[in-house]
Amino acid sequence: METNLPYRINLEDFRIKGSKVFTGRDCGEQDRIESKVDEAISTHARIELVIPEDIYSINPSYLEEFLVNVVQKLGSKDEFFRRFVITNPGPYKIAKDLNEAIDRILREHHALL
Amino acid sequence: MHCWSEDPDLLTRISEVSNIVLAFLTFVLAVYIFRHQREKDKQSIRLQWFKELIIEPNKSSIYSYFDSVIENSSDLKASQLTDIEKIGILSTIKSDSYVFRRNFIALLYSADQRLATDIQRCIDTLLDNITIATFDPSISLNVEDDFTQEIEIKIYDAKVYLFTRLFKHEG
Repeated sequence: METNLPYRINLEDFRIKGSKVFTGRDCGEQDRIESKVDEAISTHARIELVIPEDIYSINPSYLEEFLVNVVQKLGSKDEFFRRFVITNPGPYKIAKDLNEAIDRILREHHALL
Repeated sequence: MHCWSEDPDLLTRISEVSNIVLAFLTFVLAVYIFRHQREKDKQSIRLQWFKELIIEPNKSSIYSYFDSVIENSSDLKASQLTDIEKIGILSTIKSDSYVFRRNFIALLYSADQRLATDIQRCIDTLLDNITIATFDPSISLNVEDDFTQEIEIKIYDAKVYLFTRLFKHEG
């Protein structure tokens, strides 16, 4: 059963100390598990992803692993953005990198079907 | 006397059995060669299509992608870049990489999923390396040695890997 309260994932909680970027599949996978984002998609109607203000890049290598299961489960970009709220107050804007990661996940998912 | 009368029959039988075995082995060999050659022909056709449909039309885009990464990365050599300027430079490099994926790497998936994944990972690693170097306070990209080590060599390595991987593709 889904709750209406958003499930909040603040990437600050997963940041490597002193780092201003999120890169790498290993980190994406690790943070996916620790953040419990895969479970949250089943229990919460909305998920809020908070990007710290002083983070300057979140690369598709990280995002692809972090979001692979939720994007495959949701099945489309529209559905993803219906369920996810991105809080992104800083000068770095995640939109382009996020769209790239989602496109890749969906391409691979459809290729396997 | 008894032995001499048996020998011709024995020899004949050995000869007949040998002929049968040889004929059978020849048949097996012929089937093997036929199937092996047919597989090689299929592979050759696949390689030909790969070259004509995917590589030839995109040769220039492979070179121009790496040229653009080198050119845009050189903007990182400027002294005292602000974080916002760095974000902007990186954004340009990422955009070029995403276009390269859509125009070239995506096509590779139709030929060989493993090849496409390997090359995508290579480009991702290059992007990650450039990103990390850009925002690492212990690295000074305006210093020639740092830039060479952290950026130029990484671009070169990615280019070499990509071409090596393509050359090794056997269809």
